[in-house]
Formats: sequence, C-alpha cells, structure tokens
Amino acid sequence: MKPRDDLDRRLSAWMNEAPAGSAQTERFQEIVNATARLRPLPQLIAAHGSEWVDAPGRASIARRARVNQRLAIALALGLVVAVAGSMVLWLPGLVGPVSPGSAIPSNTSPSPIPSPSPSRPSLSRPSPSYTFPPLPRVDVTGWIAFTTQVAGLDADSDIYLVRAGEAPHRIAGSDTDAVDEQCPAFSPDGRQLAYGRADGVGEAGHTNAAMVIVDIDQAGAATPVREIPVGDGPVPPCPLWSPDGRWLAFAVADVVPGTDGGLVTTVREVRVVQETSGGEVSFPGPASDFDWSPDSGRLAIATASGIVIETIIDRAPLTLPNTAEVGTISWSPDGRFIAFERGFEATVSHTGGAELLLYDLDAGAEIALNQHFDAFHGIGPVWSPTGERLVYQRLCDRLENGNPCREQHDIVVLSAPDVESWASGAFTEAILPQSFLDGDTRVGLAPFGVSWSPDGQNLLDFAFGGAVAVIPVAGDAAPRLLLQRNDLTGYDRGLPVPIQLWGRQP
Amino acid sequence: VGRDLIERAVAGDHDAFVSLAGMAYERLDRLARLILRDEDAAADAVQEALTAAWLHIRAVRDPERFDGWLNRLTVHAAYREARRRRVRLVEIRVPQLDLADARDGVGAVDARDQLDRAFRRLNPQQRAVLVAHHYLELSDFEASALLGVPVGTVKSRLNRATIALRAAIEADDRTPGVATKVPA
Repeated sequence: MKPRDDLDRRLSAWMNEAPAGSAQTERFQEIVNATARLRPLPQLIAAHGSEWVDAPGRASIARRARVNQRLAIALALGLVVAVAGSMVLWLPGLVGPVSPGSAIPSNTSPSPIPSPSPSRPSLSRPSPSYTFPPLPRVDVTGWIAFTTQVAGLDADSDIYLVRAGEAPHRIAGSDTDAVDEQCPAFSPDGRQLAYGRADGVGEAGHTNAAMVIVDIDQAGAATPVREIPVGDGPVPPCPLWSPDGRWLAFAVADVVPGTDGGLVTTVREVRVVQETSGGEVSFPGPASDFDWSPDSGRLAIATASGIVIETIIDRAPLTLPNTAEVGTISWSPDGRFIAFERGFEATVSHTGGAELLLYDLDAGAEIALNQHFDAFHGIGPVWSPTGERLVYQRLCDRLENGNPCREQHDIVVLSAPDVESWASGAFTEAILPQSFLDGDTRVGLAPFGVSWSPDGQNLLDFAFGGAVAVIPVAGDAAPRLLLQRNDLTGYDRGLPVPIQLWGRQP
Repeated sequence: VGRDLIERAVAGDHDAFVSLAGMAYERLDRLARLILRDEDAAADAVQEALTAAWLHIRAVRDPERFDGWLNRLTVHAAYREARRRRVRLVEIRVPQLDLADARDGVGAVDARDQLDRAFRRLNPQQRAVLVAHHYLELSDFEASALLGVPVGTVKSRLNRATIALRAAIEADDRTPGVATKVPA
C-alpha cells in the first residue's frame, strides 16, 4: 500500500491535470443564449431555499470559526461563573453574608428586538379621470369563449365561441343535457381551450366533475384532447393555464350552505396537472385565489394564513408575511409584484374597507395602491399582459348630481410606465365608462368580469345584463359591443380564478 | 472576481453575468466532470447550475461568496445529474495480453488511468468530498458549506472516500486486466 500522503499528492496532481472538455465553447454559448431569454427571479423568491443562499466565503468562515471559538470561551467562562455563583448562593455560610443585590446581576434583559413591519408608502389617492377615447370601432381578432345559462341562473350552462362579425356557436353542451360546462380558458398559444364540466346544473349537487381540454381550430371547431376527472361533489373546475402552457391549475371546490343561509364556495385543494403527461401535484385548501408566476415554476395561493408561494417541482413553500386573509391575487408579468385585495368581506355591511396592495418580491414589502375602498363583489386585481396596467373593481365613492353613487360598481384601470413607477407609487388612475353608445343603442357595463387582450391594449368587459364589450384602454379607439345576450352567466360563485376569455388569434 | 461585475449581474446586467460565467466555466466544468466522470453529463450539470445562478442571481448578497456559491450550485446540479443518469454498471473485459509489458511501458499515464478507474468506483458524494479537498483545496468548514452537510459528515465522508479509493487502487493492482466503466 502506498503511503497516504503519496495518494493525496497523486490525487491533487491528477485532478488538476484532468483534460478540459472538447466542446466547452459551444456549450458555453448555449448557456449564454439560454440565460439571455430568462429574467432573474425577484430577490425574495430567488433567496428562498437553502440551495440558493450564497455559500460562506473563506473569510467569513474564518470569522465564524473565530466567533465560535469566542462563544465557546464565553460559554465556558459563563459556566465557571455560574457554578461559582451557585456555590456562593448555596453555601453562604462559607463566604459570609451576602448583601441584597450584590450577588445578583443587574437587570440584563435584552433590548426588545423590533419586529419587522412592512413598509407601506403612504400615497395620495390619484384623482379619477373620467375621460375616455372617442369612438371609431376597434378590430377584434380571434375567438372569444364564454358561458351561457339557457334558462336563468340555476340552469344548464354551455360553452360558446364568438368572434367579430360572426354569430356565436356552441362547442360544448346542449340545452337539454343537464351537464354544466363553465369557465373556458384558452391556452397561452390560443390553440387549446380548457373548461370545467360536471353532471348536474346550477347550484344543485354536481357529480362526475372533470377538467376538459379541447383543440380549437381556425374555424372554431373543437376536438377533444383529454379529460381530467375531479370526482363527485365539486362544481365544474375553473382552469388557469401556466404562462408556458405546460400546466393547468384549478381549484377543487364545493358549494355549501353558509352561515347566513346563502351558499359559499369552499376550496378543498388546488390541483396542478401537467398538460402533456397528466402528472398531478396537489396543494391543500382552503384557498381564496391563486395565480402563476411568469416563469410557470411557482403558484401563489391565497390561504387564510397568507399568500403561499409553492414551487411545482421541489415543493418548498414560502409564505409572504402579513398577507393573511387576502381575497384575490394577481402576479405581475415581470414577476416582481403580487397584487392583492384584502378586507373584502368587511365591506359587505359598508362598515369596513378593502385595500389594494402590491407585494414587492424584491423589497419584501407592501406597497399600498388604494388603502380604503368599498366593494361587495367582483373583479379582483388583474395585470395586463405587459404589466403596464392593473384593473380592479370597487364601489363608486363620489358624488354624481349631488348624490352618492354607492350602488354603482366601477372598473378602475391603474397605469404606470415601468416597474419602478409601480414601486414608488407613481401610477395614474382611470375609470371605465358605465355605458357607451353602440350605434343608437346605449350599452350598460355593470361589471362582472374582465379579460385583457393579448397585447394589453383592450379590456374585454363581461357585464351583468349580458353585454360583452371591448374597451380600448390606449389610443383613440372606441368601445365596441361584441355580444349582447341575456343568458350569459351573470352570477359570481366566487370561484377562485381570474377571468380568461380572450382566445385564439387568427 | 470583480466586485463591480458581480454587483452589476445582481442588478440584472446579463453581460456582466456572462463575463462572470465565462471566468468560472472551466473551473465548474472540471468540478462537474470530476464528480460525474462523464463529459456530457458534466456539461449538462454546469448548464443547469449557471442557468439557476442567473435565475437566482438576486439571492447573492455578498460578492465575496460568489465563487463558492457557483461551486455549490454546480455540485448540487452534478448530484441531480448523477441521479438522472443513475448507475448503469458496465464491465468491460480487457484482453490480458502482455499486461506486464504494457504497464511498464505506459508509466505515468498508466498510473493516472489507474487513479481514474479507482475514482470511478466511488459514488458522486465520495468523489465530491475528495474534489473539495484535492481540487478546490477547501478546509472542512468550507467543504461543509459547499456540500451542504455538517463538518463532521465531511470528515467521516472524506475518511471513507479515501479508504474506498485506496481499496479500489489495490483491487486494480490485483486484477490489472479488468477495467470497470461506471458512468454514474
């Protein structure tokens, strides 16, 4: 056997002589190209998990070793002092009387450690602007999916597609099948549609619930791809595609009697299914909302204890501090902010107030966008695809003709040109019109849901009363009525999913 | 490594990150190849590590720790790559013709080959701890941070890896006609 130091020497020499790889340059260029397409994660998420914490350097290890050494010495000294002190207290006869206070250390209780508190920049409320661009018609391209209920609120719901210049056509369900089909959501590439289905109609108990995925061709015809069973009991699930289209998240939710005699939706679990393989991940409920990170690797889930950011692959949840009891959430396209509403329930009696905030995942702090508004129900925050706008719903709080307009719901569009403007609260605010003229007809827009066009320039306003209108939020185009039906789904069961209606592009 | 480059990369400057990655690439590639003993697997591990480094660049708080952080991401990526390509043990029988002469003639090259064969018999964790000490020349404390295990585990793992390596060399001495290829 060779001596140990000889093996060490041979090993070091061999490792340092190991030949370099032959294809390094090509592989390195691949890495450069791959990373150029990626955006670094926000600081709070990037640093979550032990693997991502930067490893100690040599100097800090030396410092830590010295600190450890000092701690050990201090502990040893403390032990000696404690033992000696005990002997003094236990054996006073050996050392004489102890005067009060002399053997007792002075008050050494540590100073209280200030608890971290989220920074909330106090913002002056921007003045509402009621001007909207005047009126040439916008071009609406691509299929838009929607749900109808053929005979009232508790009736059979089906899925339709519509696009500009054509009559709507049904792609799922029939007037008499007693099957609910709801919550259509186009995949990010616009080629597939996912929706929930279940036997049974309306608020009655459902059975055989499933998530359905179909291909949609250019002519708007649907071809079944797969069904993901959800079981008996839950309402038809509402799908939310991951931005890369590889995953579908949906809540498994039941409608149950509430304490006030009404019905409430409770979420058993949030389930994530891989679109291609059918592989599943499940996160326990209850939850009030969820949304994907822009990189599709994480799902933010609003739970009673806070907004939990779950990673899909390695399951390392991160709970954002001070975000308990949040209602609805929306993750900004650049990944830095999670917009959320809080205090929603408190406003039912007009005694409380809701607030709209951003959680800044770089700074680990909240930014208040609106610290007090009223809202009964409706649209939580929804980011535009470009991240320049954020839309939400609130009750009107101004005077019109000298009277409060409390029963009027406003759709509010906040705009900021860049990330830093959001971070500093430098945004502007506009309110969508309550109605507009379509030819000679005035179209009401009491808000039910909204969906952004893929370019972030138009909002699809899905209104109570059955109007689906395209509202431009930039440029000088005019609102346009796309569809007016009195059987559109108009009842909010509070299912936790952002409205996703705007679909396939031609 | 330039503090300024690291700070620029942390602020989201991709060009600065590419410069840093370029400076570290050869070291990381060698680190991964020593652990994985497979060139393609090592390249995949380094790509995974550098991609993760860019995604998590804002986690870097102390520029002094940047190199150690990259090393650690690479070691963990190598472990994952090893699991993915797990354990296909292929024994290649080499004809035992004129072995004594061949060994005498090859000399130092043969000694390196023997070390290579013995090293391949270790598992990735054992290779990693030997690489930490003999290639990166880290202390037990530093190796602990690199490998994500306690210092005591580093010491015991290093001891076991050295014993295993020595045993593998001795076994190779006894059966010089058998080469074992173990892509881990």
